[in-house]
Amino acid sequence: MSSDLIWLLTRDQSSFLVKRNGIQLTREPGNLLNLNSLKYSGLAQRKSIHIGAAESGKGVTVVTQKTSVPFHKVAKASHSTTISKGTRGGHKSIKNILHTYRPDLEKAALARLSRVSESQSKKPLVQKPKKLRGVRARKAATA
Amino acid sequence: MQSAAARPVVSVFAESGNSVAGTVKLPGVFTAPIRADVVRITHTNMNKNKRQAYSVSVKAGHQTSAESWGTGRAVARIPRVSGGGTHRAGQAAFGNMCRGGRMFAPTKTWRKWHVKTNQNQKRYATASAIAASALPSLVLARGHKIEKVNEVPLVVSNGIESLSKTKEAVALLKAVHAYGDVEKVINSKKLRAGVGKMRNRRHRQRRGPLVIYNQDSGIVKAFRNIPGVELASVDALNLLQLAPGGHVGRFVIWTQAAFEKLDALFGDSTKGSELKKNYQLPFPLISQPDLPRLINSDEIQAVVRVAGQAVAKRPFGQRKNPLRNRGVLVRLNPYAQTLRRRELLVEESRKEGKKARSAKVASKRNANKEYKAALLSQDTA
Repeated sequence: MSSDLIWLLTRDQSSFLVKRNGIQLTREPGNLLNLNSLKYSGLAQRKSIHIGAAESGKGVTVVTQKTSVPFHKVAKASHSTTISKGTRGGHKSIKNILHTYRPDLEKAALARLSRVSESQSKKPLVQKPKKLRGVRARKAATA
Repeated sequence: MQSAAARPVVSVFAESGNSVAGTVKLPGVFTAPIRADVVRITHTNMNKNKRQAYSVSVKAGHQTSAESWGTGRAVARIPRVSGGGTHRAGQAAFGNMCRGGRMFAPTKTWRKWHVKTNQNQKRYATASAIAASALPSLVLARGHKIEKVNEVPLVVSNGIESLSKTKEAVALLKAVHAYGDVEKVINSKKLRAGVGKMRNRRHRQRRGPLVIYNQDSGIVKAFRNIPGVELASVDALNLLQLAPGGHVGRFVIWTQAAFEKLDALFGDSTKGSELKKNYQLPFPLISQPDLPRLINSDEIQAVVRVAGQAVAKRPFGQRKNPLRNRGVLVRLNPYAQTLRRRELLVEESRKEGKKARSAKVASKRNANKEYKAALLSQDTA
């Protein structure tokens, strides 16, 4: 498989492509910036890394491609791990993965990890109990 | 554009799913060049060949004996309906701008509905589409759910051809992890927008896997009721099914016999087709489409010059404005520092002088005040 060939075939024609409001993005897994470019493509690049929220809601799932397994063995060709060490610990793990795998993606990967963990760390909004006024307040005071 | 890398063998999966029943040699057609442009043009043309003729009635808008009133009556010279006693009389007729008139250039049933496509072009497109169906990236890009499928192209042993119950067919699709694609189809079913709803095209849905068989011993009936699944005989492969919408990369499930027949049908790089007369597969213009591998090959590396030292165009980060940034200004004009220093000294001395002068003035003013006060006190005394 030639990544250049795949890129030429998928750059204009892909079910993941989103062209809207004058910008062009792509939704495929393995694209760290969701940018339709050869470097970040999750389809064309033999070695891609997918970083997304883990299904449990805690930590991130990291999917890399195994170079030891031929690409046409789809199910076996990818390797998935869950990192739930928080942002800082996760940064270290991801750096370790990318150091030999795809050093050029380090910055984008860390940025994505931060964004994903940021989205997970947001606490759900808790509604304050309404302050009672008037008759109800008096009733509550006597009760 | 170029071929996929040739692979020696492809696994044949048993009907039970994960176990590999054997292997087959990869047919030569999978090394054909993937030409998305050829596929698209051929698809557009072939897609026109199933149309049904339609037109407006030839009589529409002409069922009146209207004639122009000519000039002199202060109305337009368009033909007008003759007679009286009804509102229609005197109204303009025939013209495409008239109420009740015919349309502009009425459609005719003898429009050119069909497009002839050269046979070699059709075969080229079919070969391209088959080759593309073996590349997981392209199949994913078409929108098929093949993440869990063991291998692409997916070949299943011949027993599948004699399945006769849909229940068994569904079980098989689940066993080979292809059912995700069917679920995608089921979830995608939507009511069609527009009038097509009442013209027997009520729903729209995605396409699922294409099952290609050699001999129908029940397989067609077993699979045909599964949403999105289509079937094709290997002897009658159709580009409209292999590349729906002109987009290559259909998810294809082959039976072993169908897969093995591909070499006889298309031939390979060394020999022509057995079943098509005088047919030779197209071959890629470059045999190695992997550009980094080409660039890093010994042959290329032996003749290219050694890379020189990287020259940074701008060693520092952001460009600084020397008129605002004094450090950069001094780097450009060392005398600027002396000038500035002198400027500062002058400023300082001026400030000093001003202070001394104002002190002097203040002391004089005080003396004056005291003198005036003394004078006044003498007056009152």
